[in-house]
Amino acid sequence: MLREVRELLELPARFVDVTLHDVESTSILMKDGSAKEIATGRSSGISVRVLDRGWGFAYASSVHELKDAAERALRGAKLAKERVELAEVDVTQDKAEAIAKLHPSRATLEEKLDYLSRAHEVTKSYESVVSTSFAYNDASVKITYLSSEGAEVEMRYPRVAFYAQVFAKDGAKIQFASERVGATSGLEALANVESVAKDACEKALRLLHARAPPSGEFTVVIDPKLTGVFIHEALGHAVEADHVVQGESILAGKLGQSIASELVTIYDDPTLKQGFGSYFYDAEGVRAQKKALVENGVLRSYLHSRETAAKLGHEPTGNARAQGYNFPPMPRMSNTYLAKGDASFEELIEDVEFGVYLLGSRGGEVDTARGVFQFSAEEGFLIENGEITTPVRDVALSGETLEILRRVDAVSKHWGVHIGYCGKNGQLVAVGDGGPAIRTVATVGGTQ
Amino acid sequence: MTPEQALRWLERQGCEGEIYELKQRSYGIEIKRGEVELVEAGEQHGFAIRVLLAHRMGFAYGNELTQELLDKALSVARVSPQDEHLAFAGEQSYPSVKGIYDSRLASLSFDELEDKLEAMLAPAQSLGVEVTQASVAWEVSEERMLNSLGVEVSEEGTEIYAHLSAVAKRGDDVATGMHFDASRSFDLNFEAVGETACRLAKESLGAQKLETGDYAVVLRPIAMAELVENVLIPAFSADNVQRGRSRLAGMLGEQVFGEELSVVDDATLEAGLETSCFDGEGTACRSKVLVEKGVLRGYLYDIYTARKAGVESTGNAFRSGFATLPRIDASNFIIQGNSSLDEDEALVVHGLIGAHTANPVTGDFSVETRNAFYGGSPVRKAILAGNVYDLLSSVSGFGRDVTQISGVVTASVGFSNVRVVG
Repeated sequence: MLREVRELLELPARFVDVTLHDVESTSILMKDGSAKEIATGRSSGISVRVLDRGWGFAYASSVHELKDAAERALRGAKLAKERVELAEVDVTQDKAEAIAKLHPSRATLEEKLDYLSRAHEVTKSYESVVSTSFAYNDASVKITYLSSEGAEVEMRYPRVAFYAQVFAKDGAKIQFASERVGATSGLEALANVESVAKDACEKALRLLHARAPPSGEFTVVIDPKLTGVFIHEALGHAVEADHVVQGESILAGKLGQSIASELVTIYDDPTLKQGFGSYFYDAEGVRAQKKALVENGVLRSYLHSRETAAKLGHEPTGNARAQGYNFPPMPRMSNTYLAKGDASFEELIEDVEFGVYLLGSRGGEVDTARGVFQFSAEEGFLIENGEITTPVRDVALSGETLEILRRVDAVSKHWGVHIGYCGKNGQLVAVGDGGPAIRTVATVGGTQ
Repeated sequence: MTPEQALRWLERQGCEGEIYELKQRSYGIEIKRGEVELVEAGEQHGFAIRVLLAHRMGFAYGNELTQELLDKALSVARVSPQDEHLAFAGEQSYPSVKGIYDSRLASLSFDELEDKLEAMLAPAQSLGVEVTQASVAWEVSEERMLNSLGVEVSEEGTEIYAHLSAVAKRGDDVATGMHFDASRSFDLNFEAVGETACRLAKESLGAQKLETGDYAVVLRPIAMAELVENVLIPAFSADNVQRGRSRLAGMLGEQVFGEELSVVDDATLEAGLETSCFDGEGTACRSKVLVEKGVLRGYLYDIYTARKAGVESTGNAFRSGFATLPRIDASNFIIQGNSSLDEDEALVVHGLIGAHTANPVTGDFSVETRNAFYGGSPVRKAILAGNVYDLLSSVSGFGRDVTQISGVVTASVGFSNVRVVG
């Protein structure tokens, strides 16, 4: 197979690369204690990129279609008109495999089911919990990347995730809460599913007694999970260099400038051990590297593919990623997080007269060109005279990226990274989002 | 092996089998800063197998139909729980549906798109805004299903999608506009996609803050569809209803929305984006009334939830590719009403940011607006907060601009009294 691929790399074009994907996966959905949906399977495919003036991209789910795909890519490349250059990178030959103590391909279906049964068992002691869904997903991913420059990299990643969603009821009131855990590793990352399920149950119960939040501009303290999503939405997307090049990022032309409070330092790190968004080499065979996006408030770097790096005359950062063989790579985040500070949690809230403490994330979205974002917390509490008081629910925050980053005035020393999937132009990739608890000012959207 | 051979082998093992086959050709063009940068062409082919072995369900998927795949599906069935409500569709007749396949799309070449792309990009220049990105994608797919109970059905479909994002700048002021459209045939109006996106960007320049308060709000079809997809459609799923996760559970025959509002889920809609003659389990698709003048009339079922409830499947088990099990979803979810719409003195909202963060169980939402106008003037930032059930009980009017946004068919809808945080 690889020999045929190597022949293809000789196509008459400025640059050719070929990626082979092979993914074996198992997913189990347990509904209310019964393992309703178990799916296993394998999907593989091949993608070919050809650079003439612009890109031609083709893929096929059968490796036998390789030659056909290459011809389609070549024809496509001749039609594209925008002149594309690629930044120079080290050409690598390497094989790398992420460590798994208990590799998903070596575990039986029964063993996988057991994680869900253990989680469900925990929920039985909560009377108000009326419905539960627990999901187990694993994937054994093998990616082989070859380029006409001579790169040849083979990577293997086991990835596991566990999701809990529980519904609690009190009279006519119904609320739900979710928790998740996962890693680029084996099943050992799921050792504590019981405590994850327990956290979800307790959160759902708290939400039953929470009231709608106030609305308006307030001091907000956000927990590590939500800080991660905030950094991802508000800053991360705006430093993706394709947005910068296309003139749709509020951070275009701001490298070296102060864009945030001095307390703000932000990294993108695909080398994070077991990180959900970790990888060895990106989708263009460029070695993964940790880089500071923001350092003490100063914008330091964008997230680049080889193409965007060449366009802006920057060093490549190894951030080209693709969801699978049927998608072209583009600049993406990996594990993105805010560095910890030195405040204790008490110091974050003690001098807040009135504010909102927000925890957990239900997702978010951003308009990178205007720098306006929205994200939603799973739960919250009012802060009154330095004390955590009334629980609130369905709290959404919105704000302008630069304003909210400038108004960060306290950063705690408690830190964590959480798993997520990031969607962009129809492609989903696994990411890690994280940080400490921080304090800033934002608009809270409530019905009160 | 062929699907027929696979079924016969499964039957010899004492189980019922079902085979779903998907063949897809996909094409795309990506435009960056007004120029074609990437041209894409792909092919996918895959199989999904479900088996029923003594009331236990097994599922496996792969690119080829092999013995290994059948063995895998059987081994999943062996560890799955027994459930008498699990069943496959029986032999039945299917409706004939129109307008879902266009031979022009099936054989479309990139050259034939050149004029269309020009038409889509042209409005940017005349309006003095920049195109940041645009794309056109089209797809030709063929689905086939057969099972041990005599189901044997197939369908070919085509679809084309176009999108354009534009940015308008005046001094330090930046405004964005985005629009998209999709069609089952090549008659898609590319020029309107470009024109709408560019106009929205230009008209959103000079946006001002809005005072927090209660306003009359008009949701344009895209904004309406975003809210409906994320918050309302899950409530009609019989799976959510049966598991106590829907606000609509136990409310059949009750007034759940305002009298002005009716909802029909019609999988047979001519040229509908979600139109099909059979669902992901091989059940014949049809049209059903979900809400009649505000009164709840029905839910969306697959075979399993229907048997549990003692009714017929509504043909709403849909597949998203060959690697996933069929799941309950709406087909063409049509929102109907006929009172007229008054847009004066209303906050008119084109799109939402973060609609997927709304609470699908309670219906509570708090979302940022995209391209919002009050009295014709652009608004800089406005969060809409409320509850979708309260919202749909306060409908004040429907526009004439009926259009389909992915699965939702709707016009602009007006609401009285929505909380807006400026």
